[in-house]
Amino acid sequence: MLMNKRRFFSLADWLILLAVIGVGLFFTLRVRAERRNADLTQTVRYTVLAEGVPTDAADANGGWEELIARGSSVTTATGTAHLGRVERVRVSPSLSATVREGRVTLLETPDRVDVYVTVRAEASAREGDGLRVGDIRIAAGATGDFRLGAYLAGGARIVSVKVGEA
Amino acid sequence: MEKRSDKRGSILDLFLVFLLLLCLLGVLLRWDGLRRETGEGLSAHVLRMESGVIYRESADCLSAGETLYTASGEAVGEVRSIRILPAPITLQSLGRYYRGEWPIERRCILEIELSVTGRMRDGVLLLDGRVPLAVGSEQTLFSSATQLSLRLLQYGADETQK
Repeated sequence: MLMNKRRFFSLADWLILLAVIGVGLFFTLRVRAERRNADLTQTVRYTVLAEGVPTDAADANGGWEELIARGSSVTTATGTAHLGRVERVRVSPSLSATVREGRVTLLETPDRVDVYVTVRAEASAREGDGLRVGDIRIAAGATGDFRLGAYLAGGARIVSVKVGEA
Repeated sequence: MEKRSDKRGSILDLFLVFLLLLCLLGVLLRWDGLRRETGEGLSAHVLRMESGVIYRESADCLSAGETLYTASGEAVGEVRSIRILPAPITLQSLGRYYRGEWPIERRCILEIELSVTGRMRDGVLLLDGRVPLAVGSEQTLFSSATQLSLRLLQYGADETQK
């Protein structure tokens, strides 16, 4: 008697369920891929700031312009995603706040600098999704680890993003 | 023979469950769509929001008229106005607090007015139709070129929408 009891889900049911999920997934992914292909590609220039970094690495390698050479590749820290090419490097003294004579004063920090690296990249743009280079969103205010030429800037911040050729 | 008809029966059950779920989903989507189309429960507001201390270059990447989105790409509202305010520095030395400011060309605070149209529940706007945006809460919002962490300071009625 027990043998004749009908099982609610049989192997065939599960196979059909898997097939339905598979078809759904296929169409969802295809639509997403088509949407991505329809994105507008734009040239962007964004500036990465590595703040308060020690100067010893640059001193040992012929300076910042040598370490982060113009035209060199910019990637994520692991090197898996290409994020553009270095266009310009600017170095300015790093400031820190301190109390002097009863007032808050900004002083240059010895042996530390702020390094601004302007990167040129081709980004895809879509409404609501911003600018993306590969899968990485490029937005002023975003932080991350960037490999800038031969230099790894950990915890660097994108401080500005400009769209267009000039 | 009996086994085969059992199998057919169970497949039929499964399809019926699917059909029921699809019907429910359709009703839910249609109901939500109708609410959106008719604008039922929607009201216009102006949110006054403030960023933390940010770099001046980042502040210059945002302009009035831009739309701000959530990370999932849902539009929140349009930037109506932007004020760039000095960023304070507070330091403690020998038991006393000292207050200064960053040079405004280096760092600043953004205060923005955001025009939003959304649903309110208990006097609180629902972001994405779900997430309550209470005064004092912080949200990460995106424009086309910026990512801002903004704290809601004040709700106001949007007079231009009346």
